[in-house]
Amino acid sequence: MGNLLTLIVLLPLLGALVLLFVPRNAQGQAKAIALIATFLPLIFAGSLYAGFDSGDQAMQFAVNYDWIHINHVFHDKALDIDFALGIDGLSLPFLLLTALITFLAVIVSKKTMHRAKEYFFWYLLLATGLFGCFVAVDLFLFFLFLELTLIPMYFLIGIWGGERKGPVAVKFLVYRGIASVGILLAFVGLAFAAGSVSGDLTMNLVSITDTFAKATPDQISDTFKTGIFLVLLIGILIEEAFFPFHTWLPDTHEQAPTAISMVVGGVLMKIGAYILFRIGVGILPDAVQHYAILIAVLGVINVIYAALVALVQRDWRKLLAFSAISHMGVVLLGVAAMNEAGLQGAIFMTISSGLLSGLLFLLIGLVQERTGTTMIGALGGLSKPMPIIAGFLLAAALASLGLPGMSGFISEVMAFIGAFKAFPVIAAVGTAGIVLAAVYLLWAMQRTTYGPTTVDYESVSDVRALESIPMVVLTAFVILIGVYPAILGDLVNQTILGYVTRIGG
Amino acid sequence: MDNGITTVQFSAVWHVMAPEIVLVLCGFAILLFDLFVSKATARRWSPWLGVISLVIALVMVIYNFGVVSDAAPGDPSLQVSNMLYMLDDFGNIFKVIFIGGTLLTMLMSIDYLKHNPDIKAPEYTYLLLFALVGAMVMASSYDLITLFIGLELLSISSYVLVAIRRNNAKSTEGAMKYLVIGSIASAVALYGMSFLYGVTGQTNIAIGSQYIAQMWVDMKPLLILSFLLMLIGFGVKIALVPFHMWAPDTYEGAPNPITSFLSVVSKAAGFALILRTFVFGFAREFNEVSIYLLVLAAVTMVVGNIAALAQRNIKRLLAYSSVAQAGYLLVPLAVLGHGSGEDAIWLAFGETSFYLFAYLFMTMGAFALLTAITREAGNETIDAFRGLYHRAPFQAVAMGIFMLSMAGMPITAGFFGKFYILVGAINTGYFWLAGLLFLTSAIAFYYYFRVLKAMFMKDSASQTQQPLPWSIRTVVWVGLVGTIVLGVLPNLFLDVLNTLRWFG
Repeated sequence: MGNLLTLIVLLPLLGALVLLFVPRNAQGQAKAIALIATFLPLIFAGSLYAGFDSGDQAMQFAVNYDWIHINHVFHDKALDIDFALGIDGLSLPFLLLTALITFLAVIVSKKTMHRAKEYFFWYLLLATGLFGCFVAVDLFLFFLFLELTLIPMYFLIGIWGGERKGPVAVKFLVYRGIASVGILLAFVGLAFAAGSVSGDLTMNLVSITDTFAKATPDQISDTFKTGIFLVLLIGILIEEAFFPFHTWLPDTHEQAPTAISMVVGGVLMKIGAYILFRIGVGILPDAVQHYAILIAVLGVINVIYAALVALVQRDWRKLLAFSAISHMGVVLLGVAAMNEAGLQGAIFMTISSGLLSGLLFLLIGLVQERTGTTMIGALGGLSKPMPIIAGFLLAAALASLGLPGMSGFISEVMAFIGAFKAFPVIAAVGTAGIVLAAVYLLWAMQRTTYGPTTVDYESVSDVRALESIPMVVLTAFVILIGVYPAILGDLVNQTILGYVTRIGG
Repeated sequence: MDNGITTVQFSAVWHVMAPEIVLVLCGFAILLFDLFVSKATARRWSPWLGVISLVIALVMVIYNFGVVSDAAPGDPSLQVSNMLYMLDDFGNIFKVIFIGGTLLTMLMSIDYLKHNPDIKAPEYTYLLLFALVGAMVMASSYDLITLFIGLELLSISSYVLVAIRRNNAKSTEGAMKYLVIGSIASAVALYGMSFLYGVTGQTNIAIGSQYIAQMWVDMKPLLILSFLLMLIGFGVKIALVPFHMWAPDTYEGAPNPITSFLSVVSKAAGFALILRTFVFGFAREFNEVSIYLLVLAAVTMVVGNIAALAQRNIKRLLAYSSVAQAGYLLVPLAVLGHGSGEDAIWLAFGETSFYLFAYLFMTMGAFALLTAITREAGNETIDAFRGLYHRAPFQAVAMGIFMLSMAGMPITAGFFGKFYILVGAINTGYFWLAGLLFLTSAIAFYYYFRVLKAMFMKDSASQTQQPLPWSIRTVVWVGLVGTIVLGVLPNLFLDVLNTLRWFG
């Protein structure tokens, strides 16, 4: 089964390479290859899910090939870098999310767009990087995949983006490039600290985690842990577009084509959170606790600030971007709580926000394609010409603002329960964000779908069959997690238990 | 130590410096060839003679790896006249870089000379060979006098090579600046060496280093002054900030192949010189002088990358980029500290050689493409690359890969090279410098990607592009294969480094 993981990562890459041999004008073929190269990983990810043992905390389906040895590091020890893949309860949900969204986004990508072949080439390269991030067990490999997402994203925004595509593509590149500096420094620093304790210098995530769990404060000082976590945290804050490093995200969403916006909001923006869980909570729980107040306050600032900014946005895409930032603020709050409910809420929120961002950006993309605009003021009365899209938009907005029975609700509830236990006052302030979310989302909805229909839009068509697939599938998952949270909870439970025992012990 | 005069057999000298001797002889042969055959013949064949002599020298150097590994440690046959000239793997690995770089330069030049009939091909060829010999001498001696002669041989040949387009104002201006600043730098370095001699009574660094250690307490200010003067002199040669002012003008004015020679071979030679003199001469006191290197490395990375942001001319852009790369390359040496032991030194040498190889491949490939592309576009700004992808996809993709490698993007040699340097810096605890290395690289994305943007996202005025001449294409392919293989499978090279006996 381990080979399936390798296949999941390499199939999109293989697809990209095959694309190189397709004639430039064979757009249909290009899209077909992209569909296959993302559909097979989805099937494989599903079969991994079926074969996954959720009672086991260890990495499953692991593969490990020796790759690089750097000699003479650290008293004549070699630094070992392996091509190591594996999944556990934390990475599996992210893997499934990636597989789902990358496939659905291909469906909505237009094969008629200009330079379609190149588009799908970069898209598949991006998919490789995204898959790789969530299944890499080696930190070097992880970082490599993370950097690998930068290049395709630059081209995807820069060639197929909106009117300000050039500067925004560079902004994306430089922001995320700087974010990766903190992440890389933290990775290598952790490897060296673990190596000095265990005597075995490796970038392997599992052995670093184990070493840190066993190390006494004499071996790895608290100062080191808090210092390295701070470096990591700065990286994550930029990576996740948290205030005050957030400006690149709304721009990116505004300029990127719909499918790319789906992938950015649905998957790419979840890598930072994944690093926070995996490295922050998983390896440096003491440091997270040391900075708990700081993280919680940052979380609340993001919840409130982004919600307030969302309130005054005139463009749906920017509104959704700020709404996503606001939701990810809840993730910080849940992590800062460092208890079972908080962590569970944080992971739920990340996955839920991924699904909802994917869905919402898809719907707004569909609206834009029909009306030619995403400006809230220019839209109106869309429920008449396109009742299905408008209906799904309403459902997604309600899920996003936390309607019970949908994924957003359960996530927020758990995160806030956790946060209230740890810091009641800060959490109480944070709940204002829920109210604000209702205000900006419903207000925007009202202006978009209700009221008199603008003459220009009276004859626009509703959703086409092909486009309805991603819409329905994503909504189904949002509801599924909402009514039957155990489907996600069972997966992550063991991992969270592992974390919580370490914090307690 | 016995410093008495001993008879040196030619066979002993040949054993140690055969590649250099062959290159010098070939250089003179081309000089004579020029005198005895018709102009057209000389013009047509002398670059080829250059290529042949370089290939011979390369094979000899590779053979020398075996000679070093077969010899017993400290075998006297590996040195001439009491460490005046050494045969060791440190020298060998640098010589591979020098000769490889010159070979690629020569291949590029075949095409370049064809399009620039005002340049005298034989002159150009033998000067290049003599410059190369200078570089090789710089990598192989412990003796300050010999090192200085190597440095001057390289420098003076380079001055002429930069100025070789006699009727071109930019070429002349660049050469003038290079000559004036380079000569001052040589003088400053020599002045620093004279203090070292004054304190130790030795021109040989390996022997002198123990005296440096003995005298350190009493003569500290003088020794540090000597170190600083040498650092300034060498710093000019490798274009460290703030001694980099000549680089953009000289790089812009020089013929393209010569620019690539300056930025690869000349720079690598400077690093060989610095590593050999400083690591040995100041081995025990390195802690006290490394602060200057740390500061220079940091300032060079920051200023080089920031200055490159504003450049429109592609050669000036690459000049500043090469200034920044010199900053990265200085990091392994700068983080070497007191008591870091032999392993740390081997690690630092490994990092430097790996990055120099990566740098060799990506820079040579980029300059080869640039030569063809700017000539056809008729200008040297980034606009020359506009819409290249639509005209010539292969050229654009190849240039893109070189730019990505210079920016340090994954699965290229540049990425692993930077990661390797980062590992070394963190190994000795310099988190801030490691951070700065990658932070400035992230800033550099901005200007490297501007080239990519021009190639892939803009439309071009013309619809056609000449196919690459075969010599340029060869260089591009060598660069591409090197850049990607070193990036994907760095261990192919790391394992070789691991078997080296750096100092015999």
